[in-house]
Amino acid sequence: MSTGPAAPFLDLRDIRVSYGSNEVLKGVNLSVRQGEVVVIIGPSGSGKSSLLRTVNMLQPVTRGEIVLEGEDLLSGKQDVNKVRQRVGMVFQHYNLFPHLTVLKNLTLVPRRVLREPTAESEARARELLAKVGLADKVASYPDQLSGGQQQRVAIARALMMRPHVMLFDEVTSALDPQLVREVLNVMKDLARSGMTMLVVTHEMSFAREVGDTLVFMADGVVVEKGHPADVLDRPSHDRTRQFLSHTDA
Amino acid sequence: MQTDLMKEVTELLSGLGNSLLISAIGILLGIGIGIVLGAIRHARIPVANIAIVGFVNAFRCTPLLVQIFLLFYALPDIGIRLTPFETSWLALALWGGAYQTEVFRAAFEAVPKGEVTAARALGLPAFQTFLDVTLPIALRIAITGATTTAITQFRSSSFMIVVGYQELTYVANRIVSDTFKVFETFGIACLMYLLICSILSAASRAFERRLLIPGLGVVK
Repeated sequence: MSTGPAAPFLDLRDIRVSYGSNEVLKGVNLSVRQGEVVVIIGPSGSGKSSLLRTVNMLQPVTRGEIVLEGEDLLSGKQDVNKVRQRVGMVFQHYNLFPHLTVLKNLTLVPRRVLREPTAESEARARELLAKVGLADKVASYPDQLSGGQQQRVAIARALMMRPHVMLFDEVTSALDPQLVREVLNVMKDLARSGMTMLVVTHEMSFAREVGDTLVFMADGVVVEKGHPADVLDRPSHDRTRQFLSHTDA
Repeated sequence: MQTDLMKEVTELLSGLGNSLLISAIGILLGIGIGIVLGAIRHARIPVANIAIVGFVNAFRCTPLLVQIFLLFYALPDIGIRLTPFETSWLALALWGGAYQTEVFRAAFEAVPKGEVTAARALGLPAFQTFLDVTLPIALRIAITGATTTAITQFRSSSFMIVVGYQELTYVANRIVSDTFKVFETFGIACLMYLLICSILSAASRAFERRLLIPGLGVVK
């Protein structure tokens, strides 16, 4: 199967996920073009995070198909570690390795998995840290940094693997309001550079400004999707209206 | 008089040397057993898990003295003959290994799940994630508990008097039966035990400080 110009970069088809008898994703369909920024919003428990985690195979899927760059991820023939190298992920709680310096947080996996020489991966790490504004923190340990700084390190760490798509799972939810901006700015730069991104967030201004598509999820299904301004200003479903009335969109 | 004391101290020191030898072997093997079995417990490998629980219970819930008797006097019945030296380090290793298994299992469980997930999400394979993320964090968490077990192993080396291994207590006991100088002989032996245990716990604290993760409050 080859990726023609019309084929989506990432295609999620009828994704179903259950925890025991509790079905958290009830048949989600989502197509993502290369370079597209898809922002996913919705109430807690709507299945947003579970959906993201299916894309890098952290979340087993009960039924459905995930096609990334023309390859069926659930065929059982894919090396899960190889898939994850292509799909970068950033988490709400940063999850940096506490026992390693910022520099080693970035270089550990490229050196182990990509067999990259230390000098090369350190050079790339310094470059990426400069890009996220943390060139002076190479020798610091994660717990010596603020939440915003840790999250920017986590983004740089994910970028070290040269991912083709990036997943952001509520990456600003644990941050003090004044630190949110510095993380969102890094994400904006990344979006402008053409990175394909799936972003679960409560930051409606980010959705409006950076998103190409806005997806509203509730109760394990996609209720509504479209251009961010359309969905935010003229929601066509009651459920969406109800959710947005509680936000500062 | 002066030379008598010197002679006794010299003998006691050679006993201490033997105590240190079996303790060092027992402690190192115990830590090795603890890391490997603790990791298997943490990974919840089905059949191995049950076997390890059995091993841990067997050695934690029976007296060390009885274990030593079994190794030295019962094993020959099934054709395994151990010297006093072999019995001594093996008994310490098995007994300590059972305790260390629980120490390391708890430490592995205490490693934050998010960090492990992050490593896997980057494409780091499971075993490599264990080596690079879980193990280094768990070792720091385990230092205090593992040291307590190690110190107890060293103190318990005195039990090896019962198989005739010439460790510190055995030597002290022999000197007392020759000279009847109970107070000074056991007094010196006690000070030797105390000194070594103090060194062990100071070394553990130094080790902890060296491995302290800057800014992180987990290891104090």
